Amino acid sequence: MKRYIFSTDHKIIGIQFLFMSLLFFVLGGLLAMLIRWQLAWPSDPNHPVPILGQLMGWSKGVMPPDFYTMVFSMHATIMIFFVIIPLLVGVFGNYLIPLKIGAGDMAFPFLNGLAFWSALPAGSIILAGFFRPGGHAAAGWTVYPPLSAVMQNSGFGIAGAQFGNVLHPLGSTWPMTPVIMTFIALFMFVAYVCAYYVNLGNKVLDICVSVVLSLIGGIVITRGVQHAVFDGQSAWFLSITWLGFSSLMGAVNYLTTIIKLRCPGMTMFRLPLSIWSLFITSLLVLLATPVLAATLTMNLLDHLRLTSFYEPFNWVVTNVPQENSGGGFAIMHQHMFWFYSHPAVYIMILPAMGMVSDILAVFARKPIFGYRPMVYAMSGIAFLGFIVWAHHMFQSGMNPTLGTTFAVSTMFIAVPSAIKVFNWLGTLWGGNIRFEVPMLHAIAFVAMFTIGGLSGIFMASTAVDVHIHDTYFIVAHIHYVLFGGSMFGIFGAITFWYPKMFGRMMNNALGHIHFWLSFIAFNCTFFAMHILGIGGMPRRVADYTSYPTFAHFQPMNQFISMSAFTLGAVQILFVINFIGSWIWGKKAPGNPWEATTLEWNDCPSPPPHGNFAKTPVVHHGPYEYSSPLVEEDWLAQTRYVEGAENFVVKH
Amino acid sequence: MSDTVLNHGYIPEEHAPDPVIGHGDPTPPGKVGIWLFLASEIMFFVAILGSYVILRSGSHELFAKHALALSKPLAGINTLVLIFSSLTMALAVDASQKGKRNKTIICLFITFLCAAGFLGIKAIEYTSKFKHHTIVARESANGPLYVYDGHLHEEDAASMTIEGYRMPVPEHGSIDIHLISEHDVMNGGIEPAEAGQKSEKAMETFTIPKSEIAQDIIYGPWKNIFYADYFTLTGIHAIHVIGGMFPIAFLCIFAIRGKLLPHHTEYVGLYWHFVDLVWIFLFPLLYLI
Amino acid sequence: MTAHSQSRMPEEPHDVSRPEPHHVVPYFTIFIVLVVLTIITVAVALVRFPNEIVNVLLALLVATIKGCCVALFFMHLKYEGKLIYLMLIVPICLMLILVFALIPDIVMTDPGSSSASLHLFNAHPAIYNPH
Repeated sequence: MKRYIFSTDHKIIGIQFLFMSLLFFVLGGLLAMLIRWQLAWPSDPNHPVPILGQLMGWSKGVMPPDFYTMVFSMHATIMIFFVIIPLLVGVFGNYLIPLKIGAGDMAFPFLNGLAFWSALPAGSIILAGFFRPGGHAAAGWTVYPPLSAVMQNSGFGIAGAQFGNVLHPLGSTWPMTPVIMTFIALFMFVAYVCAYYVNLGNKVLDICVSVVLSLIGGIVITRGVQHAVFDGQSAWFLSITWLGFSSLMGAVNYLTTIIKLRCPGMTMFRLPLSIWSLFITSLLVLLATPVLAATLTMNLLDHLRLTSFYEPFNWVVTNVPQENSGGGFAIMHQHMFWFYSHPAVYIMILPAMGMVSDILAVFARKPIFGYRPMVYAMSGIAFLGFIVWAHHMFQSGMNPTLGTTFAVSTMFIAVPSAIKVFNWLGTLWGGNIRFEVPMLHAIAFVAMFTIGGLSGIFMASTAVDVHIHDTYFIVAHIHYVLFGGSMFGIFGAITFWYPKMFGRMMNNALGHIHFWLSFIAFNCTFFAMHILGIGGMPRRVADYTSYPTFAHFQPMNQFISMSAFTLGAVQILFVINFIGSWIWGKKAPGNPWEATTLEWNDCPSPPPHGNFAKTPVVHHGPYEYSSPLVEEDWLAQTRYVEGAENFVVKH
Repeated sequence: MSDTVLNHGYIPEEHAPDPVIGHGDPTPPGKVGIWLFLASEIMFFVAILGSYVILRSGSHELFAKHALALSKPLAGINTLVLIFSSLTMALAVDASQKGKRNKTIICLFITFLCAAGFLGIKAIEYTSKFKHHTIVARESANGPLYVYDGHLHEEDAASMTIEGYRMPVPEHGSIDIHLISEHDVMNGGIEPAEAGQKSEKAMETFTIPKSEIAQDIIYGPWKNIFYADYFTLTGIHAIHVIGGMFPIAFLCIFAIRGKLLPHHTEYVGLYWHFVDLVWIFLFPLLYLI
Repeated sequence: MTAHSQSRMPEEPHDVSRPEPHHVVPYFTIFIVLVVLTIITVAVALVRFPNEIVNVLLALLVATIKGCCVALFFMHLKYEGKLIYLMLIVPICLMLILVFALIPDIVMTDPGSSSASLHLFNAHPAIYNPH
């Protein structure tokens, strides 16, 4: 039990995160399919939404516009907060950091487990939001007030003057499914804490007490959640704030581990770039997430009509004057939200960059080109990431002085990003490239990230942004960076470290098919969106055909949808490969890719609890490929070679 | 033998290089962790306190007027209580590191009591705000329209008794009572009077029939952005105080059972001083300026 | 994982070593300084200077001094290495960035056109029609 479920072992926790986020990936993907169905045949009774149309009892099976609003809001939320961030930071942060720096575990293993077990209730609350009357949050993933302050559950409102109402709104309208789900997640959360802190000297007594405590804790917190979550939007706020605490615990842990627990000889500049990227990402998480937590707390209080930080004076929603006074500034929310969410964009790409650097060096059989510039470029991106947030707000009506300032600082980001792209190309140049599946994904990452980065430069210019703001150009850009960038990086990383995680090799042929089909379908889907965006097709509009200006976009939207369905279907191959290889895959050797870093050379696949038989001692940098010192074309970090000091590749 | 090596789960070997694991820095991992946590806490409070500062400078007249309604003496006492608890916490850390059990227990206990006292005083402040009503009503069915402001004295099914001031609603237009402060009503008008100038008017007791009440506003966070900020900031600070009380209590219990935890005490101490530090900034920003 | 790290509190080897007290810190002196400063700041607040800015700056100055006292002595920051200072400088810089970036949008607005205005004459109609 303590070994596999309530484990504090970083590898188990990483794998738990992996399964959680892959499940959410399926859900987010299905939501994306719904979006594409609606956009291909907007509100067309001849093309009713399959299955869901009947299930929901929509008239003629046509998706209502408010449901569409909810679907795209939740697609973004789930993909960003429950898929990409946990996959990059939760899974690979956990799995790789101790293994690659030569530590037995994290600095705070208990806290690490707590991070996972508190991410789970956050996930169950966000799922519970789907079951609320009025549907889930529909204000976009950016939750701009006053839109996010609109009560969706119209049967219920909080009168400001009646404070008592906040404490006992109706919990009875909750169906059983989300209640049970939330209860189980919270039960496990309390049980995890009990498993380590209830110690009365008698094992049976301990278990009994723990179970009772978890039952009480689970029921009490579930009731509390039921009270706070009276509509989808409040579920959203609660869940994301909760998840923020989970990522904070993780970030503190990763940073402390990297600062304190490196094995002898592992200096900061001998860390693999994946660890550097996770280090910088954790700093971003540590400093940006609290701002989000504060903003969402204030927004939640506004939503409950308790305060009015972000609502104007005498504001009215659907002809009903609201109970709180107003007097706040909606634009302040945008500032504070993007103060988190712009660094969050780098949280979602930096770890992928680091892992791709590792993969490229391994399969190009060359040292990474410009190790130190890579590190400095990542630090530069992280620093600049904090001072560019207002480029999301050029059209928000903010002071134009800020617009120019932020446009200039945004363009600066192109410099470190370009350094990284050229260094990746420099790594590939003249390499003895092995086109294994992880390498294909990594190369796709570089290409797709470049396209996504280039379209980003257009938006950085305030004048151009006037035209493309809130069009499909933005959608194309974000998907090129997040799907083409981060997701290909993640696929690369999963296929690369799969042998280490599960001790089995993935199927090569299936991997190739999955990659090529994904790559083609991805480009068909999202490249076309650039064209739609330049044409002016607005995002977040349920039925663009009702505007004659945009009606002629329908054929292209149908093409995009077909490609998107293909892209979705192709992921089934990945699932088959993932599960199939786990059962039937051939046993993986310790170092199948002939890589140099510690996790491949100093422990078997999969590594045992405690990772290393004895503390490794590091003698070389992480990218000693084709070193003239040894006969093989790779020199493990822990392998001592006479005279290496004189031969170290100066980066 | 260094802490970090053990902490890490290894039995260090004879020939293993000495604590290079810390790579030259003697700070234990726990302390690095707690300071990182405090750094994120700084960002959390920056977001809320920063938005308070910004909102205040955006509409400082409103904030200055309403800040007068907060109780300076109570908050001053609270500041002293919290500073004192910080002192005892520092002494507890010191005692626990020197292995003095009794002193540790006493200091931790006093710290815990101070925290409880702080919350008690806070509760008094909150209650007084929730008993504070601003009511627009007529004295009788066809009487003149007044704004009443004061604390709820008695309440029954038909009427409310308010102890405070009242002023007639101006006839030239409507007023937004969300924006009226106690100060306005006391001075008989909504023109901003000299800041800080106390009216000579004595408090009176008014009985208002409930059927004649047009609007009744409690001084909760929904009244205006000043109270929104006041309650959010002090509320979140109070949650931090409550959050600090649990580990202090646990440390105290452990110490009574004969187990001093010097590392943990130090980390809890750092957190507790941080909570004190936040209050040191909240106090002047909310109550004094 | 060895038996040791499976123990109840895996984070800290609390039974293993006892950290030495850092230095002789004048806790009581600092406490008295803090009390005196609190009294000063309340006293200053009771005196209303003609310009409000003076009050604000004085209050913030005293608060900063008090904060530094707590951080340097109670939190032993004076005796820490540069790692901890590094961790503190970054959020403080970010704090300045965030607050200064918000000023043009919210503080520098025209008081007549924004919510900063105090005198709005459009109350709830129910005020005049209670029945």
